[in-house]
Amino acid sequence: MTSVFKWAEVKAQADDPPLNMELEPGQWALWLEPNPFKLSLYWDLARGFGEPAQGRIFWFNAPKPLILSARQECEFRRQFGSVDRNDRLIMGLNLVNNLALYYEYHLGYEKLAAESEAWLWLEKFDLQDFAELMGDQVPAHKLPIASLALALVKTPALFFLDRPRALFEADFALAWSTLLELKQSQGLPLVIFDQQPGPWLAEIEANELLIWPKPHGPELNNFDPILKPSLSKTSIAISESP
Amino acid sequence: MSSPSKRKTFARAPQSLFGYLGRVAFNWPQRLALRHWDQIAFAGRLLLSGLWGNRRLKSRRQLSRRLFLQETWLLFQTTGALMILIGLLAGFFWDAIWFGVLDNIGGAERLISLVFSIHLQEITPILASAVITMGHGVPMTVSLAMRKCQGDFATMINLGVPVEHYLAWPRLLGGVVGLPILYLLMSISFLLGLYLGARLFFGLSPWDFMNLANASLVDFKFLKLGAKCLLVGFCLNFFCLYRSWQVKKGQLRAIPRCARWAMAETFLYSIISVILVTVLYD
Repeated sequence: MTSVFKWAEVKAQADDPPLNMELEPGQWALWLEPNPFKLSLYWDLARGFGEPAQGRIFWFNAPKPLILSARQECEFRRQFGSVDRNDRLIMGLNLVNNLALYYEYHLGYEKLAAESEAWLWLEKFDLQDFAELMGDQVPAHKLPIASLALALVKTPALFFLDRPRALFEADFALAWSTLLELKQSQGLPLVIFDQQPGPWLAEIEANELLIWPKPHGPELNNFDPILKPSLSKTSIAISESP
Repeated sequence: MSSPSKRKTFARAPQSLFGYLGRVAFNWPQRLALRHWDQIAFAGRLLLSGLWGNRRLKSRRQLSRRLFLQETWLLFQTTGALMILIGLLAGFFWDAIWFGVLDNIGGAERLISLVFSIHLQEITPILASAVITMGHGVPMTVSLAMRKCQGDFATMINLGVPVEHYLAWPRLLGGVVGLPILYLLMSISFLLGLYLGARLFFGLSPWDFMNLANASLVDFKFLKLGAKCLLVGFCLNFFCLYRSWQVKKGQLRAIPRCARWAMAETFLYSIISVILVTVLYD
């Protein structure tokens, strides 16, 4: 099976230990890094912003060329979706047109057809009431789910989530069910970057989730006991919540 | 008697002054060259994205056309009324200014020929450029710079939409095509203002005015004026776009500086291009 995302002997900074990771279609991974600055660095590297100090990162078996034109950069970014915790919508367009832009620009839809496709996404994510709001007027609690919709519109072959606490707290059921559905139907690979495992971890079977960077030495023994109590607590919290 | 430190300062004054002048003399051309190099690179990026953008999908052409019409209409909305008003006032005051000296220069006939040879060909393009820069160019720079600051461009790139193609080209083309039409609008309102003044001051009939205007129109250099309008339109939009692209994400404080630079460069280059066309054509 071909890998969709691979780190080969990558050192984010010169004094880091080298990292080797590989993700295949349909696999989900959790990237745990307690240091927020380092996590942001990994997050940027994973999305092709910046070069690691050593090693190479491969997206769909190809590294990102050092020099890209604006067009090539856009083509590169079209392949994968990402939801940053600071993501915003396009403020010059309303929410429908934010979603319709991809259909219009890349798939060749007419304006009305593109807007009707966008409405399907809005209905799916229960965002109909905010359809006419401009990108910067969408309320903060709906912004993460709207960003998720915008990232999924381009049917990505690889997906990244950065510290999805806000997304999962506000619209957990919607976001999670959509991602699971995409995993089952299209084998969407997903990498979640976080400082600590969130409550959503209880929803995944243990053998279905890779955990990066692989713990080594004494940390390996400490990892599970730390994780398990939090899992049991969060699963209770989820089952009790309305 | 002054203290030793003051004497030392005065002794260093020529050195400081000449040092400063030297730094300016050596740095200024270098900075100017670098800035122009950056502008050429931006123009190249625009050109490449424009060439690529329309090639692949027919619908993308439709989208571009829609955006272009939207931008042209916005240009008319923001500056149309001001252009008409300034045209009317300028025409009326042209009469008022020349009223006293008309006897020496040959009456209304001479006045209208002067209008066609000097005002409409040399002054109106600069006047139009000033109005459009302030009414449309600088607000456009600020709004685009604000969008870039707020992460709009990054969102578009994430979505796979090249910002140069989606945001810059429609504005550039809208400006280049819209300016000659706005110039025409300004000229017509100027002639209307001129006629109103001529009727008020000399009692000129509409028929006589049209005859005089028609006679002056024979020497009217449409090609020269067209070249001026195109160049002014290009300068206006290009420098405003270039400056809005210079802002980095989160740099809200840089926006006023960008707007100032956009205004200064647009004025400078549009006046230079108007003068150049006049010199080369004549």
